[in-house]
Amino acid sequence: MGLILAFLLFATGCIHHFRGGGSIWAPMLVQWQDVKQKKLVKGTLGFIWHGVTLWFIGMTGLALYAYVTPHIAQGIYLSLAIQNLSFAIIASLYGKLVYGRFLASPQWLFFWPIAVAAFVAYSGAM
Amino acid sequence: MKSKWNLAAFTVMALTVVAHAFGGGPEIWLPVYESSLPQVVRISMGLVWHGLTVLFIIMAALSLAAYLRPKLSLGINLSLAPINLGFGGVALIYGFVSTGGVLVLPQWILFLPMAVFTFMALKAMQKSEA
Repeated sequence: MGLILAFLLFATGCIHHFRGGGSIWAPMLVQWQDVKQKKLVKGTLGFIWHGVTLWFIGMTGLALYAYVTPHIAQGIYLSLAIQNLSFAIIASLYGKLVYGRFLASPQWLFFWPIAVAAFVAYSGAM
Repeated sequence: MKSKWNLAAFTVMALTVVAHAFGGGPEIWLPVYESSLPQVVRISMGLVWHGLTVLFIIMAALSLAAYLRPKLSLGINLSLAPINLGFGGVALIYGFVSTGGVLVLPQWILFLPMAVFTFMALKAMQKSEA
């Protein structure tokens, strides 16, 4: 399960970086270049966007590490499960509550399988 | 063994939550929410923004859990240290590259100590198990 989890995390990270980079982050950059905006705003948005990319890479590495070191895997899987569960819940609710439809923020389609896989891995490591 | 480094990490992460939600919310997120950007862009950035708010709360809770449940401490600290190092590193490097200074994006001031504290908790746990 650790390997499946690592694959899901890596795939989601690639989608965030390559697909989201073109369709989400690039328009953001264009928007702020046209508007006189404080450096802090532009920089922080870039920081959180690229930080999430790195977060996925880090979680992929951790899932792989947990797979090869079973004696400490439980804590790692628990940590990954809860972190991704938080994004799964936010993605599920945000689109519905703010924009009126669940598929407005379809990222929950990625985060729920990751969170479930991490919980299954956590249960298996107990 | 309970490590006080985890309590230090919890404190820093709680500060990060407050700074992100109450400082960054009005100053960073609101201009994006109220902008003329396409809806899909605003939704995705909103998800990233609010998702990180909850993630920081979760990381604070995990630091507390690592303090209270030493059995899970090793794995939790091992997962928190590189993630915070990554966030801190991105803030420092991206800030320098995009603005030419390291203080325009000051987020590393919170994330790098968080990485250090969780790493110290990790070392303390390894030492007690040896």
